[in-house]
Amino acid sequence: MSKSVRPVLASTVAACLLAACASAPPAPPPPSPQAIVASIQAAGRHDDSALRVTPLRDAGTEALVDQAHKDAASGQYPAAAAQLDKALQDEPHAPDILQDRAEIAVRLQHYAHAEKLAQASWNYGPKLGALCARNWQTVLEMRKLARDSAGVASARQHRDACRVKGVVRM
Amino acid sequence: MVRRPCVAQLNGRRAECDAATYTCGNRFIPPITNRALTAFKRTRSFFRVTWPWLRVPFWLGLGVGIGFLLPYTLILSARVQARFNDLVFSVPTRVYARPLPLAVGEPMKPDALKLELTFAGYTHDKRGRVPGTWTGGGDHFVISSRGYAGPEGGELPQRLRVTLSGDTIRALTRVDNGRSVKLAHLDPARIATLYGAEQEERRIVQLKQVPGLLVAGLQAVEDRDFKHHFGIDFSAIARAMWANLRAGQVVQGGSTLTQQLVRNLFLTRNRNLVRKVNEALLSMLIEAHYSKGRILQAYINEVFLGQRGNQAVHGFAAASEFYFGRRLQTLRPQEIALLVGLVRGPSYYDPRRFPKRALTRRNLVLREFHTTGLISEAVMKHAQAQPLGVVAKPQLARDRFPAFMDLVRAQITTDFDEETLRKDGLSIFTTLDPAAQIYTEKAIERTLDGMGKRGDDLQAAAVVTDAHNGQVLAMVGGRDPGQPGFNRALDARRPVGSVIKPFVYLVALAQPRNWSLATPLQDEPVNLRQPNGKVWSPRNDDHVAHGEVPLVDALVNSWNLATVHLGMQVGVDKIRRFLESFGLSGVNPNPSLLLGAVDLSPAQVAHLYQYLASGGHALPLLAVRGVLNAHGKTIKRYEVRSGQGEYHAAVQLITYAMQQVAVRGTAHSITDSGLGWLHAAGKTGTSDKQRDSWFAGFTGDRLAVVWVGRDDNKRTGLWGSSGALKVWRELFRKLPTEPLQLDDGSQLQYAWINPQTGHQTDAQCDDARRLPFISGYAPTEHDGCFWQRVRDAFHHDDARNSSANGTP
Repeated sequence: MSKSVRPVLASTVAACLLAACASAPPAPPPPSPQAIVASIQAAGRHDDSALRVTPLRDAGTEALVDQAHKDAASGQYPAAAAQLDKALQDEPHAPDILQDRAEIAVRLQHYAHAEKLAQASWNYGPKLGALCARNWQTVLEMRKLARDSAGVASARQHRDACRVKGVVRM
Repeated sequence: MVRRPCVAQLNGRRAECDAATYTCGNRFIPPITNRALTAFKRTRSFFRVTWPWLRVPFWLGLGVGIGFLLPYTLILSARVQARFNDLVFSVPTRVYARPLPLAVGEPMKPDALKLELTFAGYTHDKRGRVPGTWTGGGDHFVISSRGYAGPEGGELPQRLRVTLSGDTIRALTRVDNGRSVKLAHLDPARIATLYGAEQEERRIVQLKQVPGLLVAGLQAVEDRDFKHHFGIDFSAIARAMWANLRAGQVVQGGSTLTQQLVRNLFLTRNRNLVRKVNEALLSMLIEAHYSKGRILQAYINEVFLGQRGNQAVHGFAAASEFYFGRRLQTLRPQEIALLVGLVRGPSYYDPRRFPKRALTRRNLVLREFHTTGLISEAVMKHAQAQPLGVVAKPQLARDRFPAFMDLVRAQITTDFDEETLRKDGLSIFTTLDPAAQIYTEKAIERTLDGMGKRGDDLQAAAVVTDAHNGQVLAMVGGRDPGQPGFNRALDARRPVGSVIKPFVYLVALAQPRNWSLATPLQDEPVNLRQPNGKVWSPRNDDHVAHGEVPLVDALVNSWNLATVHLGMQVGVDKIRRFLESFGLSGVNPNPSLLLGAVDLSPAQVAHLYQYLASGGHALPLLAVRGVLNAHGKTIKRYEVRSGQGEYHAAVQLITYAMQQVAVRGTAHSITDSGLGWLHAAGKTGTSDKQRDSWFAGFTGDRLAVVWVGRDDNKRTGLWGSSGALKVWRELFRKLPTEPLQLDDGSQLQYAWINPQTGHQTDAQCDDARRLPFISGYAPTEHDGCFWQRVRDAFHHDDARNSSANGTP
């Protein structure tokens, strides 16, 4: 190899390496648990279904759930999780409590558990409206973290199907 | 010593025995003395002699013992355990009316309150102290509520002072501390019971919930040795035999509570030896397997204590409600004594049929309570002096309101199967308002009876709902409301006539650019070709074409020609689609729809009118508020929380026009009869050839739809105003309700209108009318009345001159 070719080759290799760096940027950092929960709750708020079903809650467990909400609001997530677990002992199929617990699980970064709880909430829940949207947004976020694009697409489809359109009368 | 070889079975193995060492294998066998040997030989020889005669009965007895009695006892034992381990009584589902809300400002009339109290099984007494009683009347009531657990939580018993004035609750306070109460509820009346195969009325209680006096008193009277015997009490049997011998007839029984329970749970009513043996065996088995407390609790829930028709009352808790209309825990000593006394013979001592006999028995039981130290002499004497205190009509409604129950079933059958409803002891809390229901029934009865012979073949149906939330307060399916069968309120679909018109006008008014209440409409003859080729030429009921009329007048006077012209402009298909958006199917697509050529049931009409009465909310008609399971836990709650109404402003305009119907239109008799203060909105309807008479109208909080017609669909000779409206008026004369106030907030504006042109005009102009418009859509054109004022000025001067001249 002649001397004149070497610098050209070196610069070409360097250029290729730089190009390679430019075409594969580093993966963005995963969203924080707070951001994930915010997106889950936003999905519930944005659901404008014409029909909403409020799951029944026993008066006895109401206090536990209220306490859990207070704990969560003050950042005491393990305490909130404990309150909700107690509530679920009394009402293991309460869909709203299951979803609340799923969101606390997200905050505690127990992602697999969160997805399982959201799925259970959907199974026992009304399968429509705001709660349904929160269920599937949770699954969607968890699939995103797992880099499962098919799972994300499926969850998005389910989430959009939660919305019940109103009757057009005129 | 002779060595006698012998063989024995030891531990299942054959072993050689040695008589010298008294051993058998390695076991020691005690020696037999000569004396004992002799005795043994004698006995053996005796048995040898007698055995030929004894062996048959012996083997027979042993055979029976081993082959029958032992397995039989084992079978009985298994049966006892199977029944008792999981002692589940079939408890019927009870259906309740809605709890009566009491709050300051709520409409309430003294008669309606009395009716509610009576219907809920409250008894009138001098003090109104015991839960389930009331005192007073007129405008002042003191009510001791019983408390209840319902789907929304429930309430504790409390003693309330209710003050009425002007058909409204003016004050509500607690008697014990004088504090005012914001909202209280009376426990709801029971309106129906869904029984299983056996119509057993029962309410399960735990032993700890049962008053101590009842537990002790029951033992004192029925089984004093209950705590100590093993199921059978031989001393009690001997005592009873002796007493019966002395009396020459059966005056006393020797059965223990356990035996009585066995009879109820396991045995038939036959009296024979086998049954007696079974009774004894079963009683001993139960005593062997279960604690005394468990047995007593089963007895308290099982004992038969009364009968009404086919309904059998089992257990003290159900009997307490059956005889006293109160819960077991609230019973007084004399009432407990009556129930304990009834155990001996509920039919013989029936306090409703044989009050004297029951009183004697009750007082005897009270004496037994005293003799056994359960009550003092003073308490006994006071209790003995009290009347029986049994409520005249037991709260054991099987199906008091069949038409309403049809609606209840329709709502809950998707959530509960028939078997669950019949035996799982559910409590269904409905929306039924007993006063509204009874007043509706009476209004139909009075109106039709008042029509004389013309009313003989008439039938009627009605639906009353809460105007705000669609809860059905009353439903009557026919002239004989207690008779189950064809439910006209739900199933009779009849042409609705002009009752449909408000919806034609509503679709128009929802387009405020094109129509308002002031828009002139052509009330002119119209000929329309129908799909079958025939020409349809509708007419007004008065056979007059009124020319150009304001839209509001066309609805107020129910003019057909103007309505058809409007409907054709709006589009029949648009109106049909609007009606079908409420779940109706197959709505007539032809122009005759505009005049009500569509068959609907009163319930369907009520559903449509609910949209207007609630200000544009499409609310389902609800008959059930919630369901509680046997443990009092809410397992279903049916509640509708509506969001923002649709076409709210247009609905308000229609409501205004319908209020005018009740003032100067086809339903002006509402105002004429003194109900003008309700400011009710309504619409009459009469089907072709006067076959059906309809009226649908609502106040501030109540909507009622009434249909009157004949089952054979013949002519009734009635208009909407002369049939159904009369029933409606009769109902609202009694029903506590509040006036309708138009929501004319930010969405409406008022303007003075010239009815000839539909333009704005000045308030002082002749015929000027003030009408509401959707804000921003009042007419912009203005008609002055200058020449009218000039003319009026001349007329005024003429009038003054005439007056001055003294001419009339």
